[in-house]
Amino acid sequence: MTQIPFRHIMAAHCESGTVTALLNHQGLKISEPMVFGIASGIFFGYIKTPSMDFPTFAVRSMPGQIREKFAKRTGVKFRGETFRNPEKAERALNDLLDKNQPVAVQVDFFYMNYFPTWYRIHVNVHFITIIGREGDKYYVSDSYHPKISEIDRDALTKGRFAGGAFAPKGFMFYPVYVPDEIDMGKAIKDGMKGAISNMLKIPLPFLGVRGIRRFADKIVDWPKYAKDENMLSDKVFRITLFLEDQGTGGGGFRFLYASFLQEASKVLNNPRLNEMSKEMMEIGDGWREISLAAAQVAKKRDFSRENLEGIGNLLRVRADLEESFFTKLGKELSNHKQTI
Amino acid sequence: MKEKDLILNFPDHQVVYYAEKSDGTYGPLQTGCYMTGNYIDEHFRITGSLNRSLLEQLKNGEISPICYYMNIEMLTIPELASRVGISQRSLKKHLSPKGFQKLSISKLKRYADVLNIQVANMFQIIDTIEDKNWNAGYEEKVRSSKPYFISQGATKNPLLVETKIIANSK
Repeated sequence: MTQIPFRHIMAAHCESGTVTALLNHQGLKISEPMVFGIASGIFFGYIKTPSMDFPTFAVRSMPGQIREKFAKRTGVKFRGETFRNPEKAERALNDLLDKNQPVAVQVDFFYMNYFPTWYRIHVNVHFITIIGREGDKYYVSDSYHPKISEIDRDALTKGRFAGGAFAPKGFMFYPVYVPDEIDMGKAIKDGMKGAISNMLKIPLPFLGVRGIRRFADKIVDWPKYAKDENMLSDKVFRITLFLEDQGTGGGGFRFLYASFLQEASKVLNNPRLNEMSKEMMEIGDGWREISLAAAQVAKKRDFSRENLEGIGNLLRVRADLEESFFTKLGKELSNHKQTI
Repeated sequence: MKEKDLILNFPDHQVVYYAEKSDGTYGPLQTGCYMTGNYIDEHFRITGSLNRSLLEQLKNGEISPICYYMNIEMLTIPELASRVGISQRSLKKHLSPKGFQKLSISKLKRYADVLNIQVANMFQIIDTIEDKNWNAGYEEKVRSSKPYFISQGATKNPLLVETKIIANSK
């Protein structure tokens, strides 16, 4: 067999992109921002455990949650499976492909050798869609690649069975049921509630808006974790990378969330949400300002307290704005309930 | 952010941003990646300098090849230990040349598999530091524009590697 006819789209993020492309293939017309918003993908977490050499942060929910939450809120059903045995995993994938079913698989990004070497890092939570096979090669629709690519069997197996944190264990998924009618209004509101909870209600000091504030406070300590200037420069560059280019759609997913709000305002027929989408876009612009500032500091290698505090102050402004934004979104939701 | 403020000409690394279009709606924009588009040279400077310093330490017998490849592939101690299936304590021992010498060949093979190199590369350096498209830690099809490139292939003998210097016909 060869390729299953599949509309390849590049997307901001691999998980929401994969879910979107699979659902579009299944006949459900939905955009990536809608999938991301309904699944409450927006988030913030600043993480430093004693076993970690260096702090890190996240601007999105845990891997896998986009698929799970979207399914729960829309009634779409995915079938997901992990494997112990690579041969069984390969057979299961091949059987589905032979039945013309495109399948999403979780892989370590490092083995996706259709990307240039300098670009590949070990991240176990990359999602791609396999859309066919021929001999020892597989056809891949990867949201981060402009075209449909090919990967050889060995690299795919290594990617699906890499060990370590978030080990993929051969995980694959595909949609098995799409309801004829989905109550999009309800799904959107549930998604917004989830986002408000992510950002404001988790009672831990390193998650949500509190996490942004913690990041702001702690960034001045970063030099003490670094072995040398090279390492520190690399870590500060990663702020830019995590916010802009590691599948966020720019501005740490805030641009993507603004697009969701704009679409949601049409579905819910609520022009105030359109206004709020503009606010979210501006919040994203501020995140981009942080990315640019971090890249500048990293390039100049001037890690003085003033410079790092400068980034911290920008972060504090984001925290304040996001706190008031999500509080307002909460009020908007309860008002909306009353008007229906 | 408006589309025009995000557009960047960098065909080697394309990404999707969400941006404001001229009619005020928001949607996807495929363009060059900001970070690589602006700072790729800096990235190569950092990784190149790290690579050179690690190579020097490896040659001087200060670190083991495992330590070298672990750093090249940006794996941490807990991450590599978990992938190889050994304790972090044992792994730490194997990062020094002294501990490395006590490794069994079978364990060395496990390391090599996880680090994506041939076992032979634990005992030799193929210095291609100037060639960003080839690195012993990245088993892949070589796409070099240079007149010659290095191809390393496994054989049926799990411990034997065939290294070829091939003229690039393109």
